[in-house]
Amino acid sequence: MADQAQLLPGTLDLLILRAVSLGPLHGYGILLRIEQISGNALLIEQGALYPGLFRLVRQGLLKASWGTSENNRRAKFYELTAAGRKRLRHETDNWNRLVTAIAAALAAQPS
Amino acid sequence: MKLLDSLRFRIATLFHRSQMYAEMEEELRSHIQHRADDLERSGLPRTEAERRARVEFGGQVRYKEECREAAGGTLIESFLQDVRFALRLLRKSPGFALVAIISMGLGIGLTTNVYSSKWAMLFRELPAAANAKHLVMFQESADGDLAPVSYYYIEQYREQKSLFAGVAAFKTGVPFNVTFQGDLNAKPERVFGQLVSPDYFSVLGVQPQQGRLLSPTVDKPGDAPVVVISDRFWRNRLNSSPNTLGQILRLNGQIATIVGITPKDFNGALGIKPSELFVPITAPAALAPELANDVLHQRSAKEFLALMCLSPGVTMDSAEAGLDAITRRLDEQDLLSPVRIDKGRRVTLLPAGTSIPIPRKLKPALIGFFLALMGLIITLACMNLANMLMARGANRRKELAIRLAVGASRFRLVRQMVSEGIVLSLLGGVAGFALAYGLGALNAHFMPPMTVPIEFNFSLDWSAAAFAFGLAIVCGIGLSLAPALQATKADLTPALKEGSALQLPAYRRIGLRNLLMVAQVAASLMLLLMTGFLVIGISKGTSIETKFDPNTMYLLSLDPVRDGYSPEKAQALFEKLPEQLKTAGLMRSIALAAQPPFTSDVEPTQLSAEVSPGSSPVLRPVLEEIVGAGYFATLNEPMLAGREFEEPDQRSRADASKTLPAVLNESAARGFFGDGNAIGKRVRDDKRSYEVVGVVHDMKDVQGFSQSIIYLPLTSRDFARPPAGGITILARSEAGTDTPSGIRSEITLIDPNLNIFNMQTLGAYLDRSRSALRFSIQTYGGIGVFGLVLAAIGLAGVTAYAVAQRRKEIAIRTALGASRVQVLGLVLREGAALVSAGTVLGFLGAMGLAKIVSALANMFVDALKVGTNDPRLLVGAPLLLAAVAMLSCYVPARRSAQLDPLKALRDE
Repeated sequence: MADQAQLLPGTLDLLILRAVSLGPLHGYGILLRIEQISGNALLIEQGALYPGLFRLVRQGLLKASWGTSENNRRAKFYELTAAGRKRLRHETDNWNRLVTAIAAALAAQPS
Repeated sequence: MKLLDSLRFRIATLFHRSQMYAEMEEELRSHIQHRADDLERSGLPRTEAERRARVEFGGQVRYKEECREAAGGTLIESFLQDVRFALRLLRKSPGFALVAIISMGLGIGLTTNVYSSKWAMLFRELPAAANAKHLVMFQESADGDLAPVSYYYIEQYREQKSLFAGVAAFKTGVPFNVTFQGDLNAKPERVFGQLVSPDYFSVLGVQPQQGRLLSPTVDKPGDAPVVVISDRFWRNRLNSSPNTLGQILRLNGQIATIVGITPKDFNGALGIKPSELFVPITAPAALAPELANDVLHQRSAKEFLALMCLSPGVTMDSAEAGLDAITRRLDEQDLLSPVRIDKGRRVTLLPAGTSIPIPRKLKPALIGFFLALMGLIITLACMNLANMLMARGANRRKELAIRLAVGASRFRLVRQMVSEGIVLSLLGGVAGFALAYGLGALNAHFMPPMTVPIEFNFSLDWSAAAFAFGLAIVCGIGLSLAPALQATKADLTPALKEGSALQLPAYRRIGLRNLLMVAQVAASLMLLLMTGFLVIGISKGTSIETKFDPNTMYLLSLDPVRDGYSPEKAQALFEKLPEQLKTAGLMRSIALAAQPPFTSDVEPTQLSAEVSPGSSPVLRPVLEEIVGAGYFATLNEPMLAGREFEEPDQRSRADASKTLPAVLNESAARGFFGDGNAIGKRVRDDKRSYEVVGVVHDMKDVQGFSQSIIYLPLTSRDFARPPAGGITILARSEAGTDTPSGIRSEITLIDPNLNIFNMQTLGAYLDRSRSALRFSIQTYGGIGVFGLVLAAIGLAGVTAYAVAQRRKEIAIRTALGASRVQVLGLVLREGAALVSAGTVLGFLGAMGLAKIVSALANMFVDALKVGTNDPRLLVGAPLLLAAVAMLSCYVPARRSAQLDPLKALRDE
């Protein structure tokens, strides 16, 4: 637990989009996928996922439909819309630029 | 496209709210089940797995709420949710809700009543008149009444094309005896209308609803008589008949054709006296006795009001200056008006686009007065509710703290408390609107009898409703915001620990709450005193002492000229009628007059005592009443000096050269001639001179005022052209021997076609006048009592709140041996300080306000002068208020003294 990082504000949405971009998932599945692709490095409180999902649906970036999960339970599956795909590309570029810039700034040596 | 989608989503969520919530629940449950499945697979028993899954998930309630907000549709939806919650809370404390709704309802209802009866009436433009903004009329000097002028003057004004786009002449309050064609046997009905110059409607900018209105190019002297009827006449008296145009009416016995109908709600200029008929002044004199004697061409006949429409770009001031110069020139040409020696302006323009023209100078005072009255009432109600909400907010601290702790945002809580305030004040608004409706109906019911009916527009229309509910919403937000912010400011830990009994930081200093309390006591006292001034001023001596039983006197009116009589025939009728009624054994005494006795519906005229040439005459405003022979004897009123009018006076012809006899009342005699003998002296107006032949006691009018009155004899002129109320007959009989039907049959014997109207006993007439007066006293009194009740409720609430906060302290004091009296004193001391501060401020405020108001508006001076000098009121009102206030502190204080210290301390 100690080596898990707190999520930066605003990054949850990006992670959800990224997780869903690999195929339709239900809420718990998204959580597992994020843990998996981040190598268990990120700490997300489980409930906090849902307001984010509802927000993204409202913004038209995700669409939701009911289906049956691998555990044979009813669950709501989320997938990316075209707008969501575009947003994910855009946000990913932004993030990379930001990270490069900050990393460069932190790596700079006083001269 | 995206916008549309999101909109659709929002609407969908709104409509499928419950379905959506069910899905949300199911989704979260499904998440927990999936997690539990995983945990079970790792070896936990199912129940333990599910418990762990729920814990890992986090605060379900909080996330559900966040989901709802994130899902959108939140504004309306969470508002509805707030409203439902507020209603549930109010149902749980019905006492609080009832008091709050009643006090808001009283406040909003009274304010709406003031708005709809006064404000709208004074400031709403004439309906259907396109030129309303540019209309003006004028008055003589700065504070006289509307000045009638001769038609010649109006023709001269009309020439001033640079100043006026149009100038029309009209005379309002003109009675017509109307018979409807095809109903030949019907008694005529008395309907009030106007005589207007043919350009009247184009000056007003009124378009016909049907047919045509009058026009100078069409309506010429000598044409067959025509009449324009109002929409109301058409609806009420002709049943909106589609064949109205071209139909024939008999007006005063003469035939006139209906050519047009005015638009809905249009009741003529000066709409406060609604007119139903509009007859052109080109009509023959037989149609309207007002047009007899060639008045249109008599320069001395000041019969018409001038209604002017300003030319574009002309200001009131420049028009006034121009009009003043023309009038001065015309007056100087006119050798017949020698009395006026005025400096200053002769005419003052008034805006005439409303139903009552209000002098420009008076307007700010009126606006100020009504704003202050409305503001005071609504402020009181709001402060009261704010106090109660604040006390409630403090009691709910524990609840609020818990909700804050489990994650509700402060904004959410404030929004919810504000919603509660809005719900309360909207409910109050409903109650208030009902109250305003009831008051409006009562107002209309209690109208004093007037010769020409006056109509105040009491109807509550959409603007009054918008006003009431707008006010309610604004008040609801305003009064709940401060308490809500204060209550949610709490530090969580102490609030949770100490609960509702937490002491606020600003407890003993000048906190918002104490300020509110002082302001409320002050405002209540101001309201109580101001309304008290008016009540005492109005009611001062309203009892009219008649020197006989007023129920033995009958009043009835006849207007034979408008029944088709010639002036000579009318005079002959009035000469023989009293004799005939007396010989029939019906009457003990009988007299004629041109107005009912004790009327307050008379305009003053300017008179001066005739003095030796050289010294300038002093003009005094005196009420002029016209009475016949034996008038004072019939009223049992002895002459103080001289004689009263006799038959020969009544028969005399009134030409300008002749001196008429006159009777003065004491006030007038003293005013003109000091304490000396007035008999034989002379007074004059701008037309003729009068010789004083008698002096009588002052008689109070129905409003309780006793003014200077000159009584002039009825002459042939009055019989030929009776006033709007006709000729009033005062007939007194022995108690019990008389019936109105006796008089009726006797008059029918003389001529079955005579229209008898306004028949009533003097007692009934006085009652109607007095009930109107009583009603206005009760209204003002009611407003004052309202302030008192609100102050009491507010003080009781705040004291109870203070006591609740100090339970612990009081319990410790009691436990340490403080007596009940000491505890009581402790609590009451604080109340007493607030009450006395408020009383002093309120007293000073009321006296200041009375000074300002009476300086601004003449009409309140008399009432306020009497009131502000009345020691009962000046001492009584503050004492009453203070007593009520202390009593309302005492009740909760006593409860605190009875507190069981052990129980109180255990509770904490």
